[in-house]
Amino acid sequence: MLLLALWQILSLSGQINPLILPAPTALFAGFLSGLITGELMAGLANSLLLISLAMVPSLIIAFLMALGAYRSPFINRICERGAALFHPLPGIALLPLFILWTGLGKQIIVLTVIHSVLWPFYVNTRAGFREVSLLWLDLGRNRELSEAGIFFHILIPGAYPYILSGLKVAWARAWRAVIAAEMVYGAIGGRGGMGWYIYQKRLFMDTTGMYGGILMLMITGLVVDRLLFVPLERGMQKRRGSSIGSA
Amino acid sequence: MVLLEATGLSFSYTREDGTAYPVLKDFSLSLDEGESLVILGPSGCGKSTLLKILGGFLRSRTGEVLYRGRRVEKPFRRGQMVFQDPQQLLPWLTVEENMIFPERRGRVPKAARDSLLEKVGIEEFRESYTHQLSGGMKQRAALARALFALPELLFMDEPFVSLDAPSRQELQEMVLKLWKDEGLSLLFVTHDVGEALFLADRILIMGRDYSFTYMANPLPYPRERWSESFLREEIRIHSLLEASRSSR
Repeated sequence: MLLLALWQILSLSGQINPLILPAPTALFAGFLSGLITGELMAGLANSLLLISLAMVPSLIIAFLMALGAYRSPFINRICERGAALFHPLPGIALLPLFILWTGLGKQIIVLTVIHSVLWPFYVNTRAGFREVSLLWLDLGRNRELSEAGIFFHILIPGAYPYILSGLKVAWARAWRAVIAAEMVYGAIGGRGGMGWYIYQKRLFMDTTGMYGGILMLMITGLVVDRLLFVPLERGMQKRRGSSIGSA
Repeated sequence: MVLLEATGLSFSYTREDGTAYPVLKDFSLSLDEGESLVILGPSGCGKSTLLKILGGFLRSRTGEVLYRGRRVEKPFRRGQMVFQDPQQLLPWLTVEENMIFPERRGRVPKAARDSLLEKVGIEEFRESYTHQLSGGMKQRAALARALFALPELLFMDEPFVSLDAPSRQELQEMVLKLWKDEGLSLLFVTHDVGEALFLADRILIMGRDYSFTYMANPLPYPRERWSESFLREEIRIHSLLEASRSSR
């Protein structure tokens, strides 16, 4: 609060250039104006739609890859090499390739997000399956559980901390990738997401609008974390008494 | 009547350099219904490997294991294993959920759950998760889980090795009581001579030279750990163990 007050005073006294850093009140007004005109919500909806279009298939593919790698040494070798090559590669670096392959369109951003989500989720889920204790599997066999029973009753809950951690990383990567890709490619099909919103505001030197967009990104990240990941992590910590693992 | 019979068992582990490291050679065993057989021997003589083969968790290179005349090829519900490692409980489940795993509480009558939890002395901890339990409580919960499956045969692989002496003795007494009350057969692995004498009808002494010797436990029930006869038997078994400690 003290920092905010100091910031406001310095802005009002003209010590800070409003084009670089507007006063907190101006910034909030810019955010509010974006909300009232509906621009911010439309941008947010567009970005979230692209993320969900990309995240669902990439989570399914990554999960199947991790399961395949857990069951077959051959698939494991292929997937591990793929992860070593592609996991560190920023999705944005692949954008020119995606354009070359598929032309311009929504699919470029979807592909960028798929790349950003696939590898971290695969790496975490694979690590989770590896961490499932052989004792737990023996226990399942001793109870005469079927393969499906062992999968649902032991493998999935056993790997759950890593799967959750993978989801968290995947969401963060997807959010970053979609904003970055939108900034590079702007509006697609006449509609732009949050990345385009911020980029457009910068083009027209609407600094308060630009900060409003960034504020919206932060709020969205916070809301997803608080409403989705924090309750899941709390539930897990209550059960297991340990913090979430991550690969 | 014979419950479990094993003949001609051999097993080798493979070292990192690809060479075989044999732990069992032409091993045979027979366990009667309601009998308590304790397998005793120094570390590395193959006691736990033997128990895993008998329980169907590992496959012997040669020979066969028969349970009620049927070949054991995988773990089976009527032969429940209690492992040495306290981490054997599923950490995402409560004590009670671990006990009835993979059933749900709604599908098991409360009276049955209460009775079993009480039997092993963990009714107070039924809602606790495993990270909230002491080592002794974890092993009690593992025992409750094994008993829930209504086994005829309990395999116990040094289940109390990581516990302090008073907890160990308390749990040994509980196992003895359960073995008698439930009419179980018991295959118990340990390297503790006192534990073997306290629990066994018969003791199997395994050596590192693949030798195995059976001996009947002459001590009558109830067994007093500090009685003269108990101590005398303990000394006798120690001397047999010393003799079997010849290296491979």
